[in-house]
Amino acid sequence: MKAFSPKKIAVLGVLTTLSLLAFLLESLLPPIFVPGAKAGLSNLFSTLTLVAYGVPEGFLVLTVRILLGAVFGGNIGALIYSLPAGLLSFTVFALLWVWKKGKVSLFSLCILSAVIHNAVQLFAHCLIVSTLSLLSYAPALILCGAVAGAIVGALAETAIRYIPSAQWDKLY
Amino acid sequence: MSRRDIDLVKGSPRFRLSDLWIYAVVLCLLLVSFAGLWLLSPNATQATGIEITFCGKRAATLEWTGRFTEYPSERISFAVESTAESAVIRITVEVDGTVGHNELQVDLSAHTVAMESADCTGRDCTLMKIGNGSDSILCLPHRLVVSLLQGENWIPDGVIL
Repeated sequence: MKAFSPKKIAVLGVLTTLSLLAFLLESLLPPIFVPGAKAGLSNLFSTLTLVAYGVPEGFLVLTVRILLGAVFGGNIGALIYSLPAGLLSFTVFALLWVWKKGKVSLFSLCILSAVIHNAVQLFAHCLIVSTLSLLSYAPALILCGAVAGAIVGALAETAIRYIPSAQWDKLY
Repeated sequence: MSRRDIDLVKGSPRFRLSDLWIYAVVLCLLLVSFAGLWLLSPNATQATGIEITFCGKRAATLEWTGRFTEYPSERISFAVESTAESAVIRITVEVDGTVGHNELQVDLSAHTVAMESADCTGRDCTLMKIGNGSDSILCLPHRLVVSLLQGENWIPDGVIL
C-alpha cells in the first residue's frame, strides 16, 4: 500500500467522521420492530471508500468507525460482537467485490454483507451468553439485514451514479 | 484502480444475472434460519415457567404457578410483585461497576413475558418477548437472559460451552 497523501488522509478522515456521525445518530433512535435491527447507514461511507479508494482504505474507515463508535457510544463491551461482525461481513464484501468485479452489483453485495453482519452478530451473542435459544431471532434479523443492506446498497449506487465524474476526480 | 471502479458502477446496469446467486444465498440463509427456528424452539406449552440467568448462571426462576425461586448470586437482586394472573419482576444488576435495572412483566396465565423497561444501552431488550414464536429475552449490556424453564424430562437441543 502506497503512503497516503495528505489529501487522501483528509478525505478518509471526513468519510470516517460522516460514518461515525451516521452511527451515533442512528443509535439515538429508539429500537424499532426487531431488537438490534438498524439501517446501518454508517456502512454507506465504508462502502463508498472501498469503491472510490480500495480495500485497505475501506477497512481503515470501517475499523476506526467501529472503535470510535464504541467509545463515543459509551458501549465498549459492544466491540466483542460489533468488531467481528463488521470485519467479517466487510471481508466477504471486499473479496466478492474484487473477485467478481463487474459481474455482480454493488446493491446485491451490500445485501449479502448486511445479512452476514447480522448473522455473525447474533452468533456472537449466543456465544457470550452460552445459549442457542437466541437463534429464534435469526429469521427476523436476516430479513432486517436484507432490507438494511438494500437501503445502503441503493444509496451507495445512487451516490456513485449521480455524483458527476468530475467531482469524483477531485478525490485523487 | 478505484477511479475505474467508480466508472464501472456508473456504466453497469443496476441488475446483473450473476446477482441471482447472491440472492439465492440470502434466501437459503433465511430458509435455514426458519428451519432452525422450527427445530430448536422449545415448546412453550411444555415449559413450566421462566428462568433468569445472569452472567451465564441461573439467578432465579418463576413458575407459571407464581412460585418464585431466587438462587444465591452476587451482583443481582430481585423485587417481585405477583398476583394470581401476573407478576412484575424488578431486577437490579451490577455489571463492571455500574448498576442497571430491568423490569419484566409476566402474564402467568397466557405464559408470555415482556421486558417492560430497562436502562441499558440501546434498550433493544425492551422489544423482546417470550411467547408468540420467540422464546428468550436477552439484555447483553446487563448480561441477562430470560428463557423458558423446561420440565425435568426436557433435553436441550444444544448449549454452547
